[in-house]
Amino acid sequence: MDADALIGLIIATALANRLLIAPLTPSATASPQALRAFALHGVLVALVTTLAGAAEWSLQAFLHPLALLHSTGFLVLPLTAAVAALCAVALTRWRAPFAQSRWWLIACSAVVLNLISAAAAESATFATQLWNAFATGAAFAACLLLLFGLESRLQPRDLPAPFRGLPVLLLNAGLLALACHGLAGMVG
Amino acid sequence: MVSALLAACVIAAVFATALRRLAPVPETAPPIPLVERIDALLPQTQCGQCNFAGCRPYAQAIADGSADINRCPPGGDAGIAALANLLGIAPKPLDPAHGRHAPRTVALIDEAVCIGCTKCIQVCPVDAILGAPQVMHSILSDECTGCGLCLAPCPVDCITLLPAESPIAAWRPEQSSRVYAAPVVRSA
Repeated sequence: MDADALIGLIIATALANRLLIAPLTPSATASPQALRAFALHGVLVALVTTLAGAAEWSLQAFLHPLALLHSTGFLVLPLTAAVAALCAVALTRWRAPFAQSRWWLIACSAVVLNLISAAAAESATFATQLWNAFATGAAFAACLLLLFGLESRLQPRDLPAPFRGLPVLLLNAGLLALACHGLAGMVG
Repeated sequence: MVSALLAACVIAAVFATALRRLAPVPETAPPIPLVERIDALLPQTQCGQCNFAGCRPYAQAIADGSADINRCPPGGDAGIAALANLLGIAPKPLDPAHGRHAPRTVALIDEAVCIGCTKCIQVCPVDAILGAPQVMHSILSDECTGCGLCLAPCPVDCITLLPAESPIAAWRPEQSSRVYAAPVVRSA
């Protein structure tokens, strides 16, 4: 998978999460509590993605000599869901309000990010796989926060009525994608 | 192997820091004042046998240390034990100067004898008597706590105390407490 597709998929995942986390109103992104909630969601997705990536590599390494596995997706889906459930249980025991996190959305996002991560680096070592999964999760969290930042700065302004809500969010995502592609082009 | 361990340590440190900063703090309920906790243990009959105007003033006196815990006959030995446990002191036998423990009763007005003087209505602490001047009075047995305060003012002795038919009657401590507190709330 090339860098353009990788960036596009991560931004699309962040956009879907933004749409599902909070309503498209200016007040939804106006408070520091909202920023904290978005940041926590991003960190939890990154955590589940990283742990699931490590677990996937270990299980794949175990199953490979047995020739039992033919599809990475077949392994990623239940494994990520299980890791998300374990994280939910462990973190809720630590702090009870973690039970209110959107674990279903975290699990779904982590599945997508893990598939991206697995496709980006096939036949990698454990350390590489771990870094890849972590980098994918961190990139997702950064995209989510950048979308939040763009929205909180642009949404409250006196926008024309047709641009309010979803259109300006899509424009923000487009701007973000453009910036990331530009950066990738410079780095590349 | 070393690089994998190093990667795992760095990633774990990043997540630990992020989660520690972003983890939602559980809301702690404000501590319940001692008066409220004592009041919750009293039977809420509002009978005045403790020489206070009701259960709440008696609870206040216990909390202030100006009254002993063994002045409540309706609460019985179980009530005294619960108060002693709450305050961390040794239980005492019920003070006979304030009456003796007896099964719960309900007042009954002999309607043929009642002259409608309203004196019983005026002393009832929980508004359990229905009536008007020169009109026959009647007891709302669901509201009556069986305190017996209506017996003495009755000029024709038409009120008797009968044993409550069921130990789990319609009367509830919180109900009489609410009715007893209503005039105080209205006047505040």
